[in-house]
Amino acid sequence: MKRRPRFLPVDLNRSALVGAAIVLLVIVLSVLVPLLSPYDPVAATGPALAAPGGQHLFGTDQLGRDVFTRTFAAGRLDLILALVGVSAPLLVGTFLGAVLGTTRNRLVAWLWLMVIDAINAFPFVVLVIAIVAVVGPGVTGLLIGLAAVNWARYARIARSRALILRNADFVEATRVLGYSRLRVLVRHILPNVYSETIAYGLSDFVIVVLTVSSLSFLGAGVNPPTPEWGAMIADGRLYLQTQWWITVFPGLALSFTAIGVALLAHGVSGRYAGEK
Amino acid sequence: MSGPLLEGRDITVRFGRGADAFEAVRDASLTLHPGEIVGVVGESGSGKTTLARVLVGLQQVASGAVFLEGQPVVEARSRESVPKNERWKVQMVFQDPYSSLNPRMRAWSAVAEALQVWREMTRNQARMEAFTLLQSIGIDESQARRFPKALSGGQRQRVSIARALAPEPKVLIADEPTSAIDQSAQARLANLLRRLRSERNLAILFISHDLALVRYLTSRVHVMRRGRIVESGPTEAVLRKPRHSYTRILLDSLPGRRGEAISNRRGEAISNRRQERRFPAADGSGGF
Repeated sequence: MKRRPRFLPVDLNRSALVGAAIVLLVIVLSVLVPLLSPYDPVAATGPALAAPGGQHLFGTDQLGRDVFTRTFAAGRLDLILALVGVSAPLLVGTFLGAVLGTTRNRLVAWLWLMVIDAINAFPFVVLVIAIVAVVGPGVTGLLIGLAAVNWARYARIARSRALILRNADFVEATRVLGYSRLRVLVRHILPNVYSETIAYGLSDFVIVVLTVSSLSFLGAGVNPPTPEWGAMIADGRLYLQTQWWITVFPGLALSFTAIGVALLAHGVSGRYAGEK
Repeated sequence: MSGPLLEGRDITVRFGRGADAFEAVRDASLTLHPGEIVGVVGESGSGKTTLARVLVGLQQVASGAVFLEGQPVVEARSRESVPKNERWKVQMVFQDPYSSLNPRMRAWSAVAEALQVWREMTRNQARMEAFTLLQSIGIDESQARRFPKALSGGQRQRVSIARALAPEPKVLIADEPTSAIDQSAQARLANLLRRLRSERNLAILFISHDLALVRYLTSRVHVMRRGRIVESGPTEAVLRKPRHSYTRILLDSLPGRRGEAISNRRGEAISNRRQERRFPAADGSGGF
């Protein structure tokens, strides 16, 4: 199914449209709410454990902080973390994988492949936790952990794609035409590898958002009092039976974001992966 | 100038090692002179494509050599095939128009790139020249701005040809360029190749299993079977009076052409008429 509303530059199917709308809503709220809110997301601004309504739309937590402001301040952090946690490994992994897939130096390619396979053999979250434990928790530690592990996924995809491309007629044609290896890599291999890794990157975004939250929930991620969805959920779980709003609102925001991105990824990835 | 432009001498290509080794091409020799179209025919798996890949330096040889203007450019055990600064002289058009163009590059851009690399043009010059070159082989400006997926098989093959022509090569290896496109596009492509030969004095090696096309285009032909060239000679003579039994089988196996191979006045007349129908604009420059 293809529909092209006039205001959109690309064809999007229904799943992608719904997903894009949700993601856009989360982004807009995450940018605007912390800016416009009268409350400081990290300071007590009212009575503790106030129910939603009136002054505090989503209520307040056990320290009297406004849950509404915190939820969207957390959104900003989580989205930025996920964006960096996806795009940096995407760039590095794609480039490296493409080089490995096309190099003639078998020994170097083999050594790199060992490293990639070793990283990929570990469960994603476990390895990130291990690295965060070494580097120390916090935003920086989290980013280092994500980047150090995640690039290997992209490199694996890029490499196998490049191995196929290497024997495609249009790449052989570049050899007949005597193009330099750099030109072939940049103009012919990479543009065709990117389409594949970007498709994975979209679905990976969900995994990374959830990983960031899970790690913070476990205390291995963002440090308090910085608002973060996973950390907020962890904060509220003692009060879940009585003051449900502390947990439920960041939980809803996280779920909505994950669903939105998943829908968007599902709808858009066909454009990239399905193309010949 | 005495010798041939391109010469393949006793080319043998082996895949695999030891007992599993398979000889895709064995002791194949052929020559190409300027302004000449030479055909290579044979069934699938007979080694035609492998031979073509050897001639452009994509395939290493087990023994034998390729000479370009008398200089060896491909030899056994040499890792680097055709030297980089010589590569422009021999270009190739691939069999499958659906994989021979970069899907992420517009038609004009693929041609402009080759121009930029080999003719020392600026980006803008190359762009203009690419449009001109594409125009001259029947791809108009709006088609030139498209990505390959928005072009037909025949159009893609033209873009491939334009890209191959960009360095102004002396030899064009055309590996079954017509096998994946429809009949009328085939005829136009054949006429294009003829025109290129006369306009640019281009030497073309035309690989095909379409004997009607080979007869129409080529002056000499080599028949390949199981990696060997089993028969060579002037196209008319070979197709009309095949000496090798395999050539006869090949001719007979063509649907609707039974009897054509065996010299027979009526058969000859039929085939001529059939060709006229298929190639209406034989030597006229129009027809696109």
